[in-house]
Amino acid sequence: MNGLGFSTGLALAFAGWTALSLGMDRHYADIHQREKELGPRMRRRYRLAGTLALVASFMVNASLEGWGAGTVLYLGTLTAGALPLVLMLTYAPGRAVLLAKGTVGMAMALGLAWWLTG
Amino acid sequence: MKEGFRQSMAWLHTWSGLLTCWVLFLVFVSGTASYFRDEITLWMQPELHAAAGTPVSAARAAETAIGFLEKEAVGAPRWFIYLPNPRNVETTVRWINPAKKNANGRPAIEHAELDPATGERLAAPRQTRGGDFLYRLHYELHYMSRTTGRWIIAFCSMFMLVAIISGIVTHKRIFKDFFTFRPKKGQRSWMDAHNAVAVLALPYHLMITYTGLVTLMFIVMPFGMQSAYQGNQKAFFAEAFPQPAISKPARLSAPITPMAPLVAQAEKHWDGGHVGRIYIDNPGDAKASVNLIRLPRKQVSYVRQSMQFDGSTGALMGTIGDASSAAVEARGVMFGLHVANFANPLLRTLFFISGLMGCVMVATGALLWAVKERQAHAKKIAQTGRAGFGLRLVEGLNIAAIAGLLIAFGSYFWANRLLPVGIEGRAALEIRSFFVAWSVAAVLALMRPRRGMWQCQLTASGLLFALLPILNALTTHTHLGVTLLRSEGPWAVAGFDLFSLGLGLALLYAARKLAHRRLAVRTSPGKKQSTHEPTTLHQTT
Repeated sequence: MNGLGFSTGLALAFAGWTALSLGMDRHYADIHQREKELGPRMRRRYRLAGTLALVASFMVNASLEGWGAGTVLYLGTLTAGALPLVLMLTYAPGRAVLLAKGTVGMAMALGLAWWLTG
Repeated sequence: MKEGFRQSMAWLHTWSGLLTCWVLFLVFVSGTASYFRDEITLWMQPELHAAAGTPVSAARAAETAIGFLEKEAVGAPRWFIYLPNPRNVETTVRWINPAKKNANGRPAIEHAELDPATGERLAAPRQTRGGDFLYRLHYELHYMSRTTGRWIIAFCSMFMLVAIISGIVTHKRIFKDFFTFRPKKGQRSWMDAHNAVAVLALPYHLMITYTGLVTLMFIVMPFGMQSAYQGNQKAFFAEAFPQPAISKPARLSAPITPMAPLVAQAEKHWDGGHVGRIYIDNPGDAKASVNLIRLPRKQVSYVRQSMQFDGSTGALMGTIGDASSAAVEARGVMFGLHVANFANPLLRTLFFISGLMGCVMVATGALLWAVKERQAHAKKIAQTGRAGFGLRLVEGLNIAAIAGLLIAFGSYFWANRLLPVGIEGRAALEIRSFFVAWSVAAVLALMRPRRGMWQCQLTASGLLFALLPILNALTTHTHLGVTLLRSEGPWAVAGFDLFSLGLGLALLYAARKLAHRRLAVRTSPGKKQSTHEPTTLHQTT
């Protein structure tokens, strides 16, 4: 397996989970550090973006290891991607979004590098 | 009705979890460690660290091993060659020595570790069971017959499965609280932590518990097999897991066929799959046979594949495991998922992380019961100054099973470095130090199940792990300065040291936090403290 591809999948999983958490009232308020309401349109957008990122992560993992082992790898990636988010939402909620944006960029760069080298 | 169902599931979750959590913690911790069984064994055999470097082809390693055995194992009816692989640098050879009997009166099995490039004996590594001890411990326990151990583990795993499923039903806000962890809120924080590690790694927990039961299925559910084969278990195993027939020797000596062409043929037949082991029956006889066994594939399913050759002519005699039935394949997938032999280092690390989350899940579950119970009886405890027997027992067992077990693990690794290398029965002594340390910790914990005991034992285990890299530096030449800074030594050794350091520091941090809280409780004004100290880790301020 390829370290670049694996990192791409992991970055997508983290970004996807962050988007999904942004679609939830409690975490939205935590992240913005004030009583901010989440509009229904934004909620839908966050959810869609999060789901898309998680699906993309699955595709990356499946193309790395095939459908069988790829699924196993994907589930592990989901767990490993969600764990740091839970810690960030607790101890540094303000930075979660920034990091997620960074990982989206990283996922693109890594994905490109992986595609070019692979 | 719905509320009633959920409540009864909560009851089931509590009791199925509590009754078995201490055994399950042992299973989870030693099982998680077993993902790095080979790496742990390598760390525990510093004599082999130097050889971990240049890879040698399977064909070459097979030839050199044969060369060694032809000199040293003449007259043995059977040779076993374990070729090097990415996780194991040396060639291991074993042979049956009919001239020497072991304690049971059976012919002794001799073994040697070889340099795969030259076939020379490596400097004999220290005697240790290494990671194999932890691996066996996680499904057979120790100091009892294997069957008894497996029965106990199967029983507890069944409870675990019940606890997981009833836990899912009980968890009301599984999606709403998906990412939630609220620290410093006493019982709530323990609950959040328990939920978070359980939910985030839920697929893993379900998979590992269920597949764990599948690995023990011939013990737990033998009924189908027994009725279909009318009690003839041997016939079943022969059909389900075919073994090559062993031929009688012809008593005519003949040179053994070269290994390299056989290895090449097998690798071609398996589409580039690698040979893991070679077993040779009647070596040096005209009726010799060679059995090549494939290294676990990259697919999830673990079905043993092998090829049989005539030992003197090199002609192909047969293959096993090329086409397998759906039932065999299904078991192969379950078994493969559990042992994760197909996993490369990255995926193995993910399994390891999920396993650690399983350990935390079991530990927080055990603590939660005590925290809740103490809260429920807070008034009575404050009046009498003493908790009930059940609560004290659980709190004692929690300390013994969680902090005490970590002390036992630490002691096992310390014993590996400190026991003199040449002494008799060294491997058994290492294991004994594991259990002696654990017993001492457990007795102390049950005598004084107090918060101070948590602090003591967490500090002790923290020190044992945090200082392990230093002990390694003092006793070997492959310390972090070499393995990490100069990146010369094997990575497995560096990884072991780093993980041990991190774990030790985390444990010391936990102990320190506990001390602060204890101080805060004692000095908090306006609150009259009774003579007892709160025993649990639960926040009282």
